[in-house]
Amino acid sequence: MHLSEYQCQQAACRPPRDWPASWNRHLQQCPECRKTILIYRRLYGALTEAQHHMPPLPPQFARNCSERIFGSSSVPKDRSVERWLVGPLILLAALIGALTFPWQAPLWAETWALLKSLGASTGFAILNGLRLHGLLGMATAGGLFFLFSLDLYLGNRLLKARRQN
Amino acid sequence: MATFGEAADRKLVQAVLEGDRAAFEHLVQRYERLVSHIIWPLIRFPEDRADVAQDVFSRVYQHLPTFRFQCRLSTWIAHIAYNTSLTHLSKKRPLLLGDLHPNGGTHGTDASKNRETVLLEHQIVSNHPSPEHLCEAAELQQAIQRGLLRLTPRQRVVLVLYHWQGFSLADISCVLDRPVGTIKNDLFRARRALKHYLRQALELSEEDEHASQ
Repeated sequence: MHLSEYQCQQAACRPPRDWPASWNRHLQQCPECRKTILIYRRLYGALTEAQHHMPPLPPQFARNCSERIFGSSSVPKDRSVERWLVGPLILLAALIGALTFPWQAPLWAETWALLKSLGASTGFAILNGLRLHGLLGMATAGGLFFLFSLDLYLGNRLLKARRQN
Repeated sequence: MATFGEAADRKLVQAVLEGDRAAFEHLVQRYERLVSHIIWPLIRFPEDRADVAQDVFSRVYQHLPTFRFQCRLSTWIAHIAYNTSLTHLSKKRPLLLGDLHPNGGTHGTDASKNRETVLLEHQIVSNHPSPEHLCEAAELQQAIQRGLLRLTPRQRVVLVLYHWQGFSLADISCVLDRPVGTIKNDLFRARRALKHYLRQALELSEEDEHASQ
């Protein structure tokens, strides 16, 4: 009985001294299996040779790769953008707070006193009677702060996307 | 105990994590051959290969902080290369029947060869234009290269990793995320198919010799 195809593949990988005795016995009297093993040997040799014919990657590939990943110096790092804006943001928030505090404080005190005296259920109705322009001013300042934060967040996302592409 | 290669890899990874650009270039140089060996059987257009290889190393850099040396660095990079190539293929175009059929979906008819196969064949032949193409070695090479084109992409990757990169079946199983039995079967079928093409080439060259005599 012939060696199986798998056994022939295995036999071609190893030197004859590592073959099991039964294979050796069979191969001494079977030219067909010997030929199959020989073809597999040539196949393995040709396969090893074939890798030298593969098209290589472009020259300077490693340099281009690191250039792409580490980026050029003209693109600021996203972290540096955050650090750069933290100071002005805090300053702006403090400035808005300081400028509006004398105007907001009595407003809030008045609202709080009314809510306390009338109860939370009627509190929202009382709010209508307050000076709406004060509330609108506060909402505008808050909105500005929110938009500024959103801009910062989206800017960072955009920078990250640019660096990845 | 860490082997010499693993110790060198650890040093290299550490340096890259510390932001050493030269170390990263060294890492790329060290593994670009492995990556190109995985990309080659999967990405057929030469112009796409360099882009995919760059994507592979971008991902390697991105995920390097999470790499804990549970496997060899080469296995991990090969896994990323394989997955990146598959992602590229799925984005680029739908999977063709030719990618699944062992005969390249052509069923042996030249007319139905897709453009990519023709392109790759041309590229392989022109890569080593041999004035001595009549000699047996060159003929065998061409038979092997043409035989490789008839294998499924996964069979090609298995063959390349086993014979060119010296990966074990277990390593290939990690790279391709398939059981070892499946990898063993792929390797067996790929070798058997290539033997068929090689035998044909050898018989043809013997016939030519007889005819010239």
